[in-house]
Amino acid sequence: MRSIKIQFTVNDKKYYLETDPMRPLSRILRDDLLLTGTKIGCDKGECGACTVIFNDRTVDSCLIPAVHVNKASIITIEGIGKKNELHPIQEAFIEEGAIQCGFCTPGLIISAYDLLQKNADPSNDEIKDALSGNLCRCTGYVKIIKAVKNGARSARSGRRGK
Amino acid sequence: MDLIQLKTLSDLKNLKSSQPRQMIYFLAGGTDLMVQYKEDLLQKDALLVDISSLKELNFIKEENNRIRIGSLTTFTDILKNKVIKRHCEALTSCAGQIGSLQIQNRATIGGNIANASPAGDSIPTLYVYRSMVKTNFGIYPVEKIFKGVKKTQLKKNECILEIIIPKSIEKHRSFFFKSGPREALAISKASLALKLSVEKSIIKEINIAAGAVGITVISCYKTGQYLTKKKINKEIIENAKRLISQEISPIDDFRSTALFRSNFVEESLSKALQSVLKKKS
Repeated sequence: MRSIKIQFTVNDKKYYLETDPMRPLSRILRDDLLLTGTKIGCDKGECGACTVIFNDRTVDSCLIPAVHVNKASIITIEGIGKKNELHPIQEAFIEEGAIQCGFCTPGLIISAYDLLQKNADPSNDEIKDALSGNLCRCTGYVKIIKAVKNGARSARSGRRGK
Repeated sequence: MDLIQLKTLSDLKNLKSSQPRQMIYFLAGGTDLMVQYKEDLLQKDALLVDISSLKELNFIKEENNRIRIGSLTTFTDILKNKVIKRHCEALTSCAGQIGSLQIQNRATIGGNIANASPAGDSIPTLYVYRSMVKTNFGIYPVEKIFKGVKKTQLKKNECILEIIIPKSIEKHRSFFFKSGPREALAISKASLALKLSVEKSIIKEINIAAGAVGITVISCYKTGQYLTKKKINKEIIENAKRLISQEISPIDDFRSTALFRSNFVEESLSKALQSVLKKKS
């Protein structure tokens, strides 16, 4: 397939790339941009491990072809929190032990972050709904839901990360 | 394989003459096509036509006697739309049950039709609203689009432009039931959509369609005919369950069994009829 030139923004940084139009965004992020925080699980939109925010909406990046990435604005897990100042959601995941193998965690944090942008005080059911597109195969979801609830609380009380 | 991007709707006309033999796949949200591309299920010499930047195909418009939905409208936009919620509650309900939030944010209603899966979740609801599908070649009842599993009657360069849902004059209710292995991120084992108007427990009008129980979504006309002008009671519901089980043709496969699928369709029909009875609408 003839390659195309695309330009896009990831975590406020501009990128220019010449690539295959059907190359998935997940591969672009990991292999071309070396932003390996985004994980690839099922690679067909069924697990949510590759979730990123794409033009203000969460998407499975494995299903976004490069041709759609042109002019897009993307937030990945690398764009949430800073090395020495984690986002409250990230801190809550650590405090609650809502991580076992960690593979689903970046996707879950992206979905939780997106939820808090729209709803600062979500109920348990709203949290479950917002995370329903992210599968975790280790911990079960109890600690994850609790972490999002706690993270939301500390974000409200002023501990705001990026 | 090659890919071209359409910038305006009129580019569709040129597509007709310049690509006579190649297989054409229209790329919209990509949630089905990307998977098929990765799994090497697309024809090797095909032409991919990206229509995702045709903004004129992304709309929901309410008119006097109909609602028009552009083919590139995502299920998230359908889910949030107040007009759809007021007139087509089953479509709202099904939009919220498709895939996951991530999928709903990308998947389009036109794509769900074009993919022609008998388990395509929006299709049974579009059947019961007697929706029409407008393409660059004509307007057809939605049922006429499908030929078999993942097969449509659409011509190679025929692109779905919009879905037209006639507004009901009658006060009505509509339902969508889906059975999957879990609530989110699941492909339907079976589904059922109903639209009905009831007065004093008597069914004035009813449309029923079932998904994932045949090679296409199935309209259950006989069951609908039987129920029309009947007063809903236990016996009528039992008879309707028997009738609908004869109208569908479910199979055993990796997702479910014929027996489960049939039971689900029967019980969903019963549930809808009973709930209408309780509400006395």
